[in-house]
Parts: sequence; structure tokens; C-alpha cells
Amino acid sequence: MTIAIVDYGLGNVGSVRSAFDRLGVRAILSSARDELAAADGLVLPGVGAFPAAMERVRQRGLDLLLHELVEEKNKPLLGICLGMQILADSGEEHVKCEGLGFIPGRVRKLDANDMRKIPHVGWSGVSVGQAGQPMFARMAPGDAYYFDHSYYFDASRECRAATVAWDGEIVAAVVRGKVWGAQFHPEKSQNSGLRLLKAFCLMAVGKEKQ
Amino acid sequence: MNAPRLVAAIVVRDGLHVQSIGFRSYLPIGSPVESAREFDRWGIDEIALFLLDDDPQANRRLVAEVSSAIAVPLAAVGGVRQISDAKAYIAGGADKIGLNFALAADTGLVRESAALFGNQCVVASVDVVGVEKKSLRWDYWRKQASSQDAAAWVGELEEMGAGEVLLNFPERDGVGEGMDVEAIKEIVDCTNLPVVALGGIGITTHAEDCFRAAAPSGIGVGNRLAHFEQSILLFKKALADAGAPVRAGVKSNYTDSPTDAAGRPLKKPESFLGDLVFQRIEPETI
Repeated sequence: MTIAIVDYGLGNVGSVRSAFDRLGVRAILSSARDELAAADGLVLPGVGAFPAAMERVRQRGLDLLLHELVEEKNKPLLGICLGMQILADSGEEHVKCEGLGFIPGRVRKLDANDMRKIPHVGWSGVSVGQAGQPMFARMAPGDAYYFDHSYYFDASRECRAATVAWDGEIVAAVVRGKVWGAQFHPEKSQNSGLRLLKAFCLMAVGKEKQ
Repeated sequence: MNAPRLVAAIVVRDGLHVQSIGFRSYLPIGSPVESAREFDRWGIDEIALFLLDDDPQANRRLVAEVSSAIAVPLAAVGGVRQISDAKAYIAGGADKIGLNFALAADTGLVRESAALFGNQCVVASVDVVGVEKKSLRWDYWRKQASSQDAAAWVGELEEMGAGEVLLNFPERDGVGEGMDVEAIKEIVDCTNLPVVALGGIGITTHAEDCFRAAAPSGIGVGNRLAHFEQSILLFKKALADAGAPVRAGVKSNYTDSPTDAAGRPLKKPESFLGDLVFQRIEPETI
């Protein structure tokens, strides 16, 4: 199988690729239509700011291409961190900005208070909801994931796959059909993260029952 | 509460992982890539790579090599003079870039990096020395204290868009006699940013003391990790014993082991060891 990491010129693509290497899955970095269309699953990585990311996605025509592949061809897609946030309808990092609109909801800024520092950075366990069962099917007891973000995805309730404790709970992962998104970095979360990436690969080739 | 991160500091000089003493002398340890790989295998929570060499190409190459050897977050500190250096580190697989003396020359670099990569990506590295009960910012070039208050400088960096603060203490670097917990607490209390504190840890008790007094978001350890076997597991045990919700990371742990005053594990009772023979240990699956 092949995973295509969507190249839009931002994002920490090196570590995403080496995570798939560890799983023995071929991962290519590309923004070319034929290569993305031929892959079994797409990964949208992300380090950066929402508007800068969306601008680059649009410049390369990737917004239209992703809509075609994901909505018409039902191609599995995993968004990571900022790549997960731009799946939203809109974001408000620095300026208000439209997202890809795959998952209903908006991206908002976290509020700092005496107990909670911003950004939310560090390792946390997550609470998995009903919608998150396939995504976290391989999760082992004690698994924790690495978070580092100042904004959170206020996703619509039915798309919340998992939450993490903050001032209350905030969304840690989203899912809608074959579109998955993780606020944390599975590629930086040691074996806990590799288990999630493996679940994505198995879903992408239709073997999630194994 | 997030688990406080145990951060491994790898100081690189002339391409080698070195033991740094007082920001002045350096003893060779070995390959930075191999050190990072082993720290990752033992369940470190994050790695901070301090790049002291004045060779942008070599620094970039090393960031990429270390990043592909590990599966934990990587902060690349040092050698960022312009935005293209930052871009190269991020493209090579660093999750964060650490800015230190570049800030003195060009504070616009914080704003520029934050706008491009997000605030969470920008780590302000601040060196602190205590002078007459005040914590002052250390001037890296002159190798002496400046007149600027460290906490006030951290406040300015927060305004500029830094997303995290990395504190280091030149006078404690490599000494191993404990951290400056009072200065750490002062800065943790006055900023909204997560703080990682580094410098002075010689035994696991020092990390415990720091957690109890200041509860920073991360505790950095350098030399101790390179020179003592199983040290990551022992630090995690010490922090857990102090009430910190640490992340296990790997299956092995010293949770129920007795330790001596220096935090080294003691032998378990014969009866316990005898029973181990009959336990089946399941391998970890991904």
C-alpha cells in the first residue's frame, strides 16, 4: 500500500514519513494529482498558522483536488495537528479564514487561566467517544499522545472521536466517514501514535477488522 | 494536568554530543544521533538539541538525521539567524525552533516565525543567572550577566509571540548540584507560557525538588542521562513518587523498586525475583 503525504510547503513532513517507515508502509510526499489519486490514503500534516496553511493549499489548487478525491472518490484522509484544524469550516488564528470544510465546526483560540498555560503542550491520554472506536481500535492501556497547540477545533458533536482534559474537555480527534483528524501528533507519540497510524492504514485498505 | 515532560538536552559541538560545563568547557560523549535514538527507546518525552556549531549546513543535516531516528518531539535550539534557518529545521523534522541570542539582535524573528509556524513552534531560550538575589538575563556573547531582569525579558518574549520558554542556568550547567528552583518558580508564576527548566540536575532528587517547588511544564536533563544507566526510567519513578502524573512511555519501569539516597535502584528481594520466573511477559504490539 502507499500513503501520500500532501505537500503544501508547510509542515513537519520528515517525521510523518519516518513514522510510516517504522510501520513498513511506503509513504511518498507529493502534491501531484496522479500520485495523490493513486495512493491508498492521504495524510495532511501541519505545523504552522491556519491562514498561512490555507493560502498555500489554495495556491497549489489542493483544496479543489482534495474535495474531489475525498468527497467524490471517498479517499481516506488523516489530518494531523494543523492539518486536522484546516479540515474545519473556518478558523480564527490571527485573522478569520475559511477552511476545507470536511468536518463541521470552527477552530478557536484556547483561553489561558491560572491553571492552564497556553499553548497546551505535553503528553496526555484521551477519552474516546463512540465515533472514535475505529480510530482508536488499537489503543493500549496507558497510551498518551503529544499535544502542542494554541487553538482547538470546536467540532460538531457527532464528529468528535476523542477528547482531552483541558478547562473542561476539548476535542483531541475528529472523524467523519473516512476523514480522520488528530489534534495531537501521532508521528511524535512513540508506539501510541504508531498504533493510530496503523489503524488508519488498515482502514485505508479496508482491513480494519484484523 | 498534563504529565510534566522529561526533556533530554543534547548539546552538540563539532558535530559531537558533548557534556557541557558552565557554558565554557565541553567533554565529548559520542554521536548525537545515537544518543537521541537511545533516549527515545527508553521513553524520553522530548528532545532538545542545542546546536553550538557555526555551520548552518551541518546543523540542518543533523536536525534531519536526529528527527528521522526518533518518534518524540524535537526542539532545535541554536543557529537560527534568519527565517530560512528556521524553515530548514522545520522541514528537516524539528517540531520547534529555539531562539536565543538571535533575539538580542533581531526580535522580529519571533514574530516572523510565529506567523509562519504558529506560536507553539517558537521556543524562547533564556539563560538566567542569580546576582544578589535577583534573576538576570545572561549575555551569551559577553559571558556575563546583563542588567535585564529575566522575568521581564520572558514577559517581552511572550508579547512577541513565543509559545514556550526554555530556561537554562549557565552557573549550574554541568555542576549537578541541583536546580535554581526559586528562580524557576518566579518565572513559571509570572508567565502564561509553558516553561521547561534545565541546568543543575545531578541526581533524581533534584528533578523531584524542582517539580514540587515550581511545577514547570518540563524538566530538562543533560549529562545525567548520558552517564547513568536506566536514568530515564529512574527520573520518571522519582517524579511519579513526587506526585507528578508522568507518562510511562515504555513498558519497563521502577515503580515498585526501592532506591538509595542517590536515586539508584537497589536489589529486589529474592522472593520477588524468584516469582518473576513464572510470569509471562507479553511483547508490545503496534
